[in-house]
Amino acid sequence: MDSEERKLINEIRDGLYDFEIPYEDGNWEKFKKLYEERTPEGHRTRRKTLIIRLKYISAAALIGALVNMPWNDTEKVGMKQDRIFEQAGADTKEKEITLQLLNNRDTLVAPPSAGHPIGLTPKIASLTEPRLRDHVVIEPNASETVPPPISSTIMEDKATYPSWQKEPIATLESQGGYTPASGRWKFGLEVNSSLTTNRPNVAAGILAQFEVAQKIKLSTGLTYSRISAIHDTDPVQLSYDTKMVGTKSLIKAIDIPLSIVYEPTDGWYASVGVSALAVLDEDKFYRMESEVLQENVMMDPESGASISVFEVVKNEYSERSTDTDFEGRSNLRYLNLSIGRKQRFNKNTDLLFEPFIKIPMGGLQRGDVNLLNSGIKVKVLF
Amino acid sequence: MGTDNDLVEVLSKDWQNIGDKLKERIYKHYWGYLMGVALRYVSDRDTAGMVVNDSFMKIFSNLAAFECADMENFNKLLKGWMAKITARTALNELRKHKNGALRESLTDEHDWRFPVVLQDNLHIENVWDLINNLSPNYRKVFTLYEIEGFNHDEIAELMGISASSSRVYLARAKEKLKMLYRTLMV
Repeated sequence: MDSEERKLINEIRDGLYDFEIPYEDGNWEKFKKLYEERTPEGHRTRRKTLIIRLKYISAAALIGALVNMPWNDTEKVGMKQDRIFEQAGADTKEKEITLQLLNNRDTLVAPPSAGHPIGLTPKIASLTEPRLRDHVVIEPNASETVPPPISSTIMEDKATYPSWQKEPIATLESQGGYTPASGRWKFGLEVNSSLTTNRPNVAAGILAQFEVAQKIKLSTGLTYSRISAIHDTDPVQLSYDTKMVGTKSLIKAIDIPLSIVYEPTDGWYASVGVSALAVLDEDKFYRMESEVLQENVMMDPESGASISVFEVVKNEYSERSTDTDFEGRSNLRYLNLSIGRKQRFNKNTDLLFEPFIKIPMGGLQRGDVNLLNSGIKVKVLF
Repeated sequence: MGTDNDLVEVLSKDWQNIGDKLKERIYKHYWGYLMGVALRYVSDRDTAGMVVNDSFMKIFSNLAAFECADMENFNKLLKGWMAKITARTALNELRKHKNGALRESLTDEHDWRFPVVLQDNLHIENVWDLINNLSPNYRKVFTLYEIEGFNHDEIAELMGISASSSRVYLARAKEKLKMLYRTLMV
């Protein structure tokens, strides 16, 4: 092989070895989808993702179940009574009624009368329940005192118990609106969509609200957010045809907010608070722009001759950066401001719509990436 | 570029245990190079993209098959390994469409908007001009032998020709290239 041939082959080899086409966005996503469909390894990855998603759904369901558990005594007793009613309805005639007086709600005490032996004080439990009106518990201890009632009065139907004297013990509707601490907690789910400059973000999470006073609540939670932000810089010329025009950051983070909610009127509220941001992952890209002189050959319609027309073609692409701005930093905070509208969805559920703005503080307040964002939250509180 | 070196360093240290994140980086980093390889054999970008995706599937499914004895040249050897897979995939694709347009030579329809200046006298566009002026079989044999590093027996198997035909095609391709080169450099 002569030296000319060797040189030529080396030049061709080097040229082809160095030849690359800039990456075109979207190809990885297409490939990933294909890869997951076609290969067992991809299936495993997809299954793993599915399992993780199922875990999140299960966790949400568990939280939902916890939220729906009775948090105060009234509801608990109500449930117990319901069970008793079912039992009573099933075997009223065959068995001796062993209905227990569970509490002081819906209770009347009928004094001894002609229809009942002296010394036996009947207690009628839950007379509002029609199935139980034929069955009362007769307790032999006449001296037993009935604890003072604390709930609503029951108006007994005179026709049903003609021989008994109805005496409502109390007519207390409410005892000053006092709710035990466990009843002042509310839990829920939240999704929100926001814009960082011109990029859309999404977030979802769980939240808890504690009623400090009638109009003031404390709210906290845990939200998984995906935040994207771009930053325009003065162009930096990297080569004769390529310049860097800015950066772009994609952040996956856990946001833990703490807010005070003031609800001056029923249905409308405002909130102010701070949140700590834990960045789980960050991808930073340099935004590049290349300009290439492109030759187009055109035919002159009159002479039929070929004419070369040159034009500058601009192409934008991204190149991943190895450094990150926020990953691993702990002093990342937002100041959160919002107003909202609460809509009662049903007895136990509120639907909340809350426009908000998140203002970067601390380590988030960097000059080169603007993470100020605003949007709307949709919350469901149980 | 620093990014390239970082990636290559990470890959060379832990090639056998590549996670999804690293696969994404590998894909994005070598996509352009493998597109270049695929375009040596197929003429349109869509088909080249398909060939590249099929090649990456083989690459990711057979990571254990790549063994590097010379860590100094890890990137070069890796690129060579990937290029061989891509060349095989491209030739298989051509075989599937034996009577189709894929056998047509590379033409000006390539969109060379990203010229790369070589160290020597040849510009990348000149390289492609040289390659494109070869007949399809000459071009394939030349690139498979001189660029990808296959031997004549392998080329014979890949192209469905005899090994002696492969030798003849290669000799003629080189003669044609020298002639074209002299014309181009005048």
